[in-house]
Amino acid sequence: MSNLVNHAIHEIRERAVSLKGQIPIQKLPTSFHRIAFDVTNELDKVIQKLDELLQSPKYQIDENIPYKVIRLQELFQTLDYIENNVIVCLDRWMEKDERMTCLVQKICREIVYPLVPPTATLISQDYYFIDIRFYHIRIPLLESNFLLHLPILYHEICHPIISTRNHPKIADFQHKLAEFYYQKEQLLARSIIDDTRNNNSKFQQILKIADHCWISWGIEFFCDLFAIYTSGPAFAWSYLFFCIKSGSQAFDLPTNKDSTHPSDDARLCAMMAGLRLIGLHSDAKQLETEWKAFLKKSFQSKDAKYKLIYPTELLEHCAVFCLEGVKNIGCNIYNPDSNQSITMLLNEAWCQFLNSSPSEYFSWEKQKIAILNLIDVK
Amino acid sequence: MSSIGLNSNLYEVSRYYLDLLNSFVVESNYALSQKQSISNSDVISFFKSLDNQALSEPQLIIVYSLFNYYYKQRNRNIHNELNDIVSKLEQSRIDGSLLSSIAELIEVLNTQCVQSYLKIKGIK
Repeated sequence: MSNLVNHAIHEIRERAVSLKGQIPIQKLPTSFHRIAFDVTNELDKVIQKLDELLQSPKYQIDENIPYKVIRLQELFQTLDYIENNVIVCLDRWMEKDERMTCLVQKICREIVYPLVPPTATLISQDYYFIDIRFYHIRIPLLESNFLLHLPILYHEICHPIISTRNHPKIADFQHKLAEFYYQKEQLLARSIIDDTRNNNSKFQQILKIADHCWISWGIEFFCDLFAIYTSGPAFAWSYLFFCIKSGSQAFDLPTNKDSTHPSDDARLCAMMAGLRLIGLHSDAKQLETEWKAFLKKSFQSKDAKYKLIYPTELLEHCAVFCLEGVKNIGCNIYNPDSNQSITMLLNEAWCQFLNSSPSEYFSWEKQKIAILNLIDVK
Repeated sequence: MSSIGLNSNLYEVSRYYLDLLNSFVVESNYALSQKQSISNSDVISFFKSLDNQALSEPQLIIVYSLFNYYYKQRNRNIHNELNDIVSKLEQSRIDGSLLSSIAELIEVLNTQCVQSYLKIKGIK
């Protein structure tokens, strides 16, 4: 077994060395040099750790073979991830990746984002997502041609604020998430006690599952609310339309502890609570009206357990804690009268879309996209 | 927004602490075989942070939640388990029983890493 493991280590090491040669540094612009440098460093660390597994006496004793295998699997996962998610983006770099990266930088500057802005690549096969290890957002291919879903960028850039360790500029935001988790624990503990007393523990199992799921749900709620507080109602409209188009289940309940995303209805309710907190009551009302109208026509309804899993009180606590966090780290809160050109444009896009004919809107959007691509971030 | 982004968060958190505990057990097993002592301050600090009621880092809350779920499934109390581990570490009682207790938690974190990784790959 040990011999087979060592053979696997050699094979992976060869692949790691080969990957370093795949980074096309000559064609990458300056804005992508950081990610190329980070990936090279990470590959060097992988090679160093693989060498340790082969050479260090610690990993040659029988008692440590299981832990050697765990370490090997971890290094393989890292390498696999780098090859298929990072180097492929660098290898296929296009001019419009640079323009999208410039847009992300501009957004970060407008909202006074506390961390280094991430790079962006138009290569995602799974909607918008951010790679927090390499600070890299992946976006679907055509997104640079349209405005309506660009507010999702504001949600994605919140993930590094939650995951980055030991950074004084974001500690206060993370503390607010921790305070929210404490509230969640208190509230759900009360629900479990009430269920025991009043329902003969009918909902015990799902409440315990939900208590665990709320840990990852909390991250998503905070990222949604960060996007609301920095980009305004545009993010909520983007999400609502995503729900309508993608056919997701509005009142989904978790069936096991691995549920990572909360229900769409809960997310939208939290967003509306957030809009009301920053004084955008009419926007919240309009969203609520549209969402309820959609739900009425979609044959979806709430299970009796739904309110236990997503208590309104908890969603409102979430909105309050997140707003305090955003203010504490110094980000600009959305203001419809501000001079933040990108944020205003993205909200104006939704206003135009909802109040114009489709042909009028798409003609307007083409002009604005053309201007966006020429914006100088300096 | 997609599952990948959130699972990246969970993967990075689990991986970081998996690394910490894995390294400690490897060092301990080797030290025992060579009849040497080892430093365990990082691991003591980690377990003490976990057992602190006023956790202020969401990363530690995520790990606490994973461990708590594991222990609850086996009708064990997380505070008793963590106290036992911290007590043995502080007394430098690095023996098979302590390393088994930590090995359980390594498996919890490794399972979470694998699950998150598969979701990132779009397999699960």
